[in-house]
Amino acid sequence: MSHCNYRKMKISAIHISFVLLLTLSIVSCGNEEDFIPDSSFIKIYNDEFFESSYIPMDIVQAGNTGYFILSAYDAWNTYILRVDEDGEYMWDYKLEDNYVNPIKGLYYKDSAFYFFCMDDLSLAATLMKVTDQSKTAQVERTYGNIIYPLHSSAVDDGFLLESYNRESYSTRLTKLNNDFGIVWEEEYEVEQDVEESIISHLTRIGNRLPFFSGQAGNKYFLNGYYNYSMSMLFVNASDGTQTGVINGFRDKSAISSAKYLDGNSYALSRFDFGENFIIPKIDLNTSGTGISSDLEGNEHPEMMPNAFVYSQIIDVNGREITMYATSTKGGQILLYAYDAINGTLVGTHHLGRLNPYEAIDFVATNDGGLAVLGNTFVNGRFSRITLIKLSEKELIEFAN
Amino acid sequence: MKKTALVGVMILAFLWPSPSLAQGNQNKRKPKTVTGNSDINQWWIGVRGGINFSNATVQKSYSIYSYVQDATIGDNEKKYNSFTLPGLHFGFSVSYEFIRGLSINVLPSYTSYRFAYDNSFRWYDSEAQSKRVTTNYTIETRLQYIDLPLTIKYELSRSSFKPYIQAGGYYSLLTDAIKKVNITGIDQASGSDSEINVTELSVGIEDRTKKGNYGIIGGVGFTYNMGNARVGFEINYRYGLQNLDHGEMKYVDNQLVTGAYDVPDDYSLNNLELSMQVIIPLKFITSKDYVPL
Repeated sequence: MSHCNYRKMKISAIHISFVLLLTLSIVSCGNEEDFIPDSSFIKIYNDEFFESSYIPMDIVQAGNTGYFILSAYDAWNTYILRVDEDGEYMWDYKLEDNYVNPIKGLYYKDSAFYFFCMDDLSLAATLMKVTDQSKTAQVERTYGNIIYPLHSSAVDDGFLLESYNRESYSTRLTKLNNDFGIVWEEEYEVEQDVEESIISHLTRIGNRLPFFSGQAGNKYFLNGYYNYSMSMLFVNASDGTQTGVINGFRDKSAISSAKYLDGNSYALSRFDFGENFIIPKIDLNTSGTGISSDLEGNEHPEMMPNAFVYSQIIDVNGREITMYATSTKGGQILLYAYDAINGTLVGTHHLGRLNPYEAIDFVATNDGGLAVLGNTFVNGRFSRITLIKLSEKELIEFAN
Repeated sequence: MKKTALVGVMILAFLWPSPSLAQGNQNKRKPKTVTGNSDINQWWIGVRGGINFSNATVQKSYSIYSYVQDATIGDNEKKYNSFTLPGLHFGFSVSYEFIRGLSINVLPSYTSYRFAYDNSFRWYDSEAQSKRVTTNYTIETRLQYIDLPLTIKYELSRSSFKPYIQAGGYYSLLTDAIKKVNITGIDQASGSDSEINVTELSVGIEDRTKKGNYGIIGGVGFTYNMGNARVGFEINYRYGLQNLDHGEMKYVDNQLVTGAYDVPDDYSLNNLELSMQVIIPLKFITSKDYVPL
């Protein structure tokens, strides 16, 4: 091969190699995704008045049109916030000052939102209806004989409404049908006046108490004052007659959350004089008497003392997961994901940095993700609503 | 689409003057001189370095805050500082002069880009606005890239002093990225003005920045013959075509998002670079009679 031909081949080889290298560099890199607005976001709903204080209560997804958030405002006044699927503000409304104490239990039915609050003069439970068209809350129904509403939940054929009767010193459970009409009512004696604790809870000037209710097959359960203490009651779904109880001790030791799994199995959490325990799967005797502090569980010292816990069974990529949301001593939201079948811990996820964040609620979203509702203190001082939307990919990373 | 077009231009530009594809050159051997024959094939290599200034062009703005009724938006938007923070770059220059005065240049370099923006948020007493709390954020982004610019350069003179113009494209590979946040606050609601919440953060954002960047480049410069080398100075402007934010990671929680309340915008990067260079002819001569300079 002549020198000339060799040199030309060398030049040609260099040219072609370089072009190929350059082309490969360009086409092989930079395939990262652009932002998909509704798959993942973090929003803080800010109000520039520093005397304003928002404490969220509950959230519901409104189909594919975003979310509806129920919140307390300036202690126990009622505030509603509507955001779109990207978490951006749509509209909000502050109810009149006489409608106070919004309670957990938010429902989306026939393109309208429903929730319970209380009239501050009569103390009567009031059902509110909200629509995107009205952008306000209208009184749908008033329950004059139900005072101090504490919690509501949805069951197969209607709703449960838990309240406190100051006249009879009793916890009251009311079964409502799908149209919010009363089906039956039953009371469970507390044996002492706990109105002061109830008022401290409702006005948020004292300890927040773990009121909740739900369905377990052909029974209902509720957590409330009974027999001097915060206790978990089991009642017949047909008429509310009590079948069993897990007693707490005053408001120092109690069940903090419960979700029915199957058979006699429940996913629980409890606190005991500041310590917290998560019990992802346990069989309970719903026809007898037990004590909450006897229930074995994993202690979680990272949780706030007597922490508020919210739990739900959700589907993560085809796997049933018991998800717990709570708050840590370090001021973060903490999610625990347990396998709902065998109770093993699948993963955990922390949310929130530098400034305090508290877990309030979460909802599994239509796109396979998770929307976590929280309370944050902006700059360490201003109480605001925060909504953290995890994408399906982020959820699967720690919960599957 | 933009990427494909850029690749096509680069391939076309680089292959077009290739002597391996030229026809009928095999038996033509003529002495090459500086002022003589235009059929010159000469490689040049050298080193270059300098400073650069960057500007982020926002394509879409994002914020962690969504304001409810009664809030004013006003001051709460990011204010970008243009071409203020200097970065450095250094690397090599590889040129192939295929026609006298016309050359293809590859300028691989390691480059540091810097830009910053400010943001502030305030809260005030609804009945006395002079009572307020203000928090200010200064956020600087530093991006380190391996740059691969490819240009065609045209010299405007045949003398020892050679001004030129050049244009082409570039591709960059990200090697490091950090954000430095400086948070200060003023509390005017506690009796007197006092500074609060002074915090500095430095957070790696390599996973939140796209690995590749590309764009077009153009500039002017000159070289001057000194001995067997040429020294030069050039100014180039780069126009970025790529949104550098890794969208999937935009709201993934970290110290920046929920701590410093900073969510990155979609942006592209423009850059003004000033460079010095020294280049020498590679002894890749085509004739024993070749006189390089």
